[in-house]
Amino acid sequence: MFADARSVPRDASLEADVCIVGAGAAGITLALELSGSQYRVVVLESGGLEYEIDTQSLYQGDSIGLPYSDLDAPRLRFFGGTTNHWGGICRPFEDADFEPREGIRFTGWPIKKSDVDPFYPRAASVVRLPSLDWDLAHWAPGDELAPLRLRSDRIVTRAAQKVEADLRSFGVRYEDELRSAPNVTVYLHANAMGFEVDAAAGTVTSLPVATLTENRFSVTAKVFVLATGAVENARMLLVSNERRPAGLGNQNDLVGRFFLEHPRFLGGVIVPSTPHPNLGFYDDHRVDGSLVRGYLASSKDFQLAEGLLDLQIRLELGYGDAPDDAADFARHVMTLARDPDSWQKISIPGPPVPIPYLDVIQEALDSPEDTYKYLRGQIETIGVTTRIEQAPNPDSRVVLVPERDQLGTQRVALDWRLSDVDKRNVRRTLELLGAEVGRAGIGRLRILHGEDEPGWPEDLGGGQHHMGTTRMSDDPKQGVVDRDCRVHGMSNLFVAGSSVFPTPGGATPTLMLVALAIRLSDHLKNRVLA
Amino acid sequence: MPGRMRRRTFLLGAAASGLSLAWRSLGSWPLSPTQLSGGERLAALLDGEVARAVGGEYLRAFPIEASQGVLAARVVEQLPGGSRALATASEGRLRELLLGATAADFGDLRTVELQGWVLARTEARLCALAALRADSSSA
Repeated sequence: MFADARSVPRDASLEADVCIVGAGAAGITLALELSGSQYRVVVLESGGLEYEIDTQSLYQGDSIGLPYSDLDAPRLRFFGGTTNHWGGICRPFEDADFEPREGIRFTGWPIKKSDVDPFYPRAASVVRLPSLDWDLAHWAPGDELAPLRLRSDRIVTRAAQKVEADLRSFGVRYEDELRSAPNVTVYLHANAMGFEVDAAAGTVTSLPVATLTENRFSVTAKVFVLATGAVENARMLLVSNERRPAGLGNQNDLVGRFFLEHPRFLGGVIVPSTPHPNLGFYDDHRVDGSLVRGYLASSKDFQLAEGLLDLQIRLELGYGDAPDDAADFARHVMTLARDPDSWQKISIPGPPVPIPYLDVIQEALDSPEDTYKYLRGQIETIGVTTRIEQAPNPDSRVVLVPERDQLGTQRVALDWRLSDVDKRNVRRTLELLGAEVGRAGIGRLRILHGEDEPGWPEDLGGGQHHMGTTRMSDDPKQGVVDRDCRVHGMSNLFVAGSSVFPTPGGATPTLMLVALAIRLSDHLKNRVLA
Repeated sequence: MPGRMRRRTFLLGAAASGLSLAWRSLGSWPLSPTQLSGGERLAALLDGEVARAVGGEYLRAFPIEASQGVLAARVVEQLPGGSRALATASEGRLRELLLGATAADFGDLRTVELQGWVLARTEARLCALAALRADSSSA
């Protein structure tokens, strides 16, 4: 069921077996997994069912490191969380993503892929992926959308699936299911104010809650799960400092450190050898009804040999100008649209191109020139956008600042930093890509940023993937949570979400964090609460 | 590991972007192979503004190779059949051999980075030969 925290009797004490803080991908997954069980579950969501400016502003915080978007931009603070503007790209981690990398400090997970694999089928169901097949051959069945023929020990093509746009929001998707769950209560407009702990500061006893309308109450539970995103998870632990001045789980000064992203920027440009290279596989397309997108990446062999982490390469086509008759062309497309059968009969001059014609028709209505470029334009350049698996860096961190939000909670600042390992990764991978592009006859690559150029490119940005601030390790001196996602030193406080990632992997984080949330729910049901 | 050089602001970017076009648009052979030395023959193969600009940059980066003899020898080293092939192959066959050597350079990571462009050593040296040829013509 759903309730509004603004209507809870003031100073009430709500009791639950599990209190989940945050209703984004991780929190909703946990609630779904616990729904129908014997356990009483309370979910605290700061926002409502829709975007609200006042609530969103609770995320405000400065970026004091590398240029980064304002902290209230990447994450969404209402039911469904950041899935409300999620891009939907999914791919699981690979074996090597869990392994420590020789020569790169702080890499590797305490668990292996085999520990997560059993949870991927359920995770795929939760995120609404139609297939769990990640074999490239499955997604490239014919020549029309063939991957580039590159040496697989150097540059590989990977297929990622995209969740359909109307299925991406966990809030929209799962509101009804949680509303009807008898053992789950979702409190909207409920802001966690920092955990209260026992005298030994080893057990959470209560969680005070406040609303922007100045209502206050608290939740007691056997187990608390923090699922508010990597920035807020760190913030919540740091502000829970009544008995531990440094915050909970922070006895080794690790909470908030190791903030990770997937840094991205235009790393190079390929001038193709032909005006119509077949790169359709690397754009969104459908196979067996599933939405798929290919991308290039450095091979794991290369990464291990060079002592590098993962790097993804997105290819983006740059077209020449459309001719003056582009509008005529678009009208021609629209004429065909009235009789889709004729599409196969009428020959359009030029080489064959895959035509998702319904999309094209819509586009033609909006922009004839772009439509022309899409179908017939000569490709003059191929943009090479690199997206790095950031190397763990303790100096890249979320820190508390003196300013407080409307509820009186200290705000945070983000000091995002990259390292020489990241720079070397881009450089070496692009050198390799340049050689492969030449060898395969695709064209020639120009690397846009010189090895000896200081700093990072101006277009550096993140993938809005916040990770690492409560990293997982068996050693309390190396991590904030253990392999079961329990905060070291705390008996009943757990963390869900990508903040537990000690190494970010090359894949997008959502599928992995959902799988980990399901793993955590099983752990809670079978080991902690049973 | 590609050779590297400091960047300078000039139009090599545009030039290198046309390099693959230069390969494609090789015109008719200007002279009978027997009328040219090996180096001259190679130099003529990739001639034009594009090649000369790339070649000039290569010569600035690797001045030790700045002679027709050295460059031709280095190119021939990578050529199946060596100097004999250079002397006797038809234009079409020589072009095939050089394209093969270029692909092999890329495959074996014998690349050089000029103004950010990742180029095969063989094609970069051919360009350098073209640049030297142009210099000697204008001198």
